[in-house]
Amino acid sequence: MTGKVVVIQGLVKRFGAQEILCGVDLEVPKGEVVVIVGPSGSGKTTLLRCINFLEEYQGGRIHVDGQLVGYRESGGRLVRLPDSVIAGMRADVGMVFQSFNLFPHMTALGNVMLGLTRVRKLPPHEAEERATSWLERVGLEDKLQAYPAQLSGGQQQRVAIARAVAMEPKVMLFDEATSALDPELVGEVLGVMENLAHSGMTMLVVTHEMRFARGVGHRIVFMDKGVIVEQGAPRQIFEQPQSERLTAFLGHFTKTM
Amino acid sequence: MDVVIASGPLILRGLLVTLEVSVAVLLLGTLIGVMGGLSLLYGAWPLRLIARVYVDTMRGIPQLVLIFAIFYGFPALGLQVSAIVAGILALSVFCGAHVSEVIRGGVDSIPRGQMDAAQGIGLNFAQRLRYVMFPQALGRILPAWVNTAVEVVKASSLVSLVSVVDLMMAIQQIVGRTREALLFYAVAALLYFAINYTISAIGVRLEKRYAYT
Amino acid sequence: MYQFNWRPVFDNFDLLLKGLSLGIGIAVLALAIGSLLGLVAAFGRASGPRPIRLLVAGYVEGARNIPLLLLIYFVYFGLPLIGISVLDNLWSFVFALAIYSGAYLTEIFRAGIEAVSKGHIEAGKAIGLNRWQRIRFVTIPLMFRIVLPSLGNTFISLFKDTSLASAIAVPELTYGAIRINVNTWRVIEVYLVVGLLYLVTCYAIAGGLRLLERRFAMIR
Repeated sequence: MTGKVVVIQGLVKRFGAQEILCGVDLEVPKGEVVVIVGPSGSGKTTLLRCINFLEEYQGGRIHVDGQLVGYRESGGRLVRLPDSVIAGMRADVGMVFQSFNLFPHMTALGNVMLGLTRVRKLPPHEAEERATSWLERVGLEDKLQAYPAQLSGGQQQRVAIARAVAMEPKVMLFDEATSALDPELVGEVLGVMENLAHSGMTMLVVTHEMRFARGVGHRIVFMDKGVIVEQGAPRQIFEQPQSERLTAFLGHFTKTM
Repeated sequence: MDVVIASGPLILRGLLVTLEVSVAVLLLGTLIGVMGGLSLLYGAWPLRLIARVYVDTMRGIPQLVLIFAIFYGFPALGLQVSAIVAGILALSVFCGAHVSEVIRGGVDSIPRGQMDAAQGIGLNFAQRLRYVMFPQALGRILPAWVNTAVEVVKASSLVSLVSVVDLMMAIQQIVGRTREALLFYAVAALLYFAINYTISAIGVRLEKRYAYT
Repeated sequence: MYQFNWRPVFDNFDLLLKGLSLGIGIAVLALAIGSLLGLVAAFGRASGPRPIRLLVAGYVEGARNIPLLLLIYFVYFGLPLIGISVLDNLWSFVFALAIYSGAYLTEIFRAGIEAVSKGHIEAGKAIGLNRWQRIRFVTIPLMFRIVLPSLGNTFISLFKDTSLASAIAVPELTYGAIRINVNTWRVIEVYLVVGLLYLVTCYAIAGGLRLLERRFAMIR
């Protein structure tokens, strides 16, 4: 388990009677960019949301940086941890949402600073410095005082990325970060994500952007119906798919590749 | 407990007055309100203006001031009014403004397309109102009107301030005599609650019958 | 023909203005206290244990179905008879009005809390905010912006309800009218002026509210 930022073993998640995740195993070493692809309903978003415990899970184990996520073991059973402990763990996992979810009542700077002052407990001017520098790194130095309503979708998502990464998390989760963007705005966000990857951040990216997957991902994971069907290096996945399901899935994308 | 029974007749008489006032206000107010609502929706612009001024004025003054104004003001102008009539008049004028807005709101919330379709199949104005507009508007007007009814019952207590012996005044008199404040205020609360809760319950039943959307 | 004589009204205009400002002050206080009550009750009803939820439901239904006047009498006349006589007539009224408004505000806040988008709360979770921090930095600020119009309308209603304070001799605007009439009996002039004062104030508040909405309210 050492050196691995995320370790998922036999993950099972049920929603009512339906099993969304049916035994998922995944290990992510430090600095790796894992891109998760698959048809809708395959459970990829749910997998991500389990890692930072936005979703509970019923079976298996998730460890982030050696710590069991969301529960403690008590005689082989999982006992849910109190909210404050879970909150602390979430601080080390950054998430970027499909619908950005910026706090509308705060400026861009305010959005990034909130976690730094209240969770990381930084003094205000240090938080402001760090927030400003991250907003500069995503190319929004002139939008510090803008409110989300005044920003384009691409700009909002870049603020959201800054907000997550300013917390200096151990791993960044991207849940279809560009799916809600107009096509011409997708590139600026993917660019930021690519820079982040090159700087060594451990990333799990759920996306439909196959060019990004191929160009930036270290490993591609293909999920379908709640299990990982196939995984491997981008070249192998895209050029020599082993399973029928993956081949069928990739067939939808040949035109854009 | 026997003090409650002893005061029973007085409470009952007060309750009756409260109900009388409430029903009178509701009837008169709804009548005014229907006229007001129709004026707001379909009237020529002078009529609409009058209705608008009427509704917006009532929104800005307390009901109590209106009651006092009529009760003390009419005699000064030479019109003799009893306290209960003054109260009913004032509250009806108020209720009318409320109902006007309720009707206007209910009708306005019906999508434009409904009237267009009705015109398209050749219904005239009265038929459009009768067969298309009002059945649907009713579903939205009814719950709001029921709320108005509850507000009227509560507002009827204000007539006690011009010495009408309604439920509120009766309870005040009894409390003044017997000093059993908690007991009788609780009785009053229970009675008002029972009336209003019943009205709301009837409203829910009616709403279920007439909800089309 | 009625002879208008406006002198008595304008000689006592300062009395009316003092009453008007008292009325506004009472409304502000009642809104503030009622909001505190309403916030606690709304969160209690949304996420508390069953007994709390029932208690809040009882409070809301009870206070909304009885006349405000009854509540005023209960607080002013009733409480002293069971030993609680610290409240004078002014504070009895403020207290009664606060309890009354609290019931309405509970429902307003409850709807507002439910309307706060789940995504924003999840974003708060994702950066590691704990439950109280999420409530304090995300739910409540967003909820207030959502319910601002309803809050404003409640305030206007409360201001009109202050006229009932005259029933227990609190010197607000309506009581001022009564006092002038007792001395001078120029009823028509007095009630015209008092009515106008209420009207103008209500519309001024409504105008201010619209300005506030433009600045703060969120279009959902």
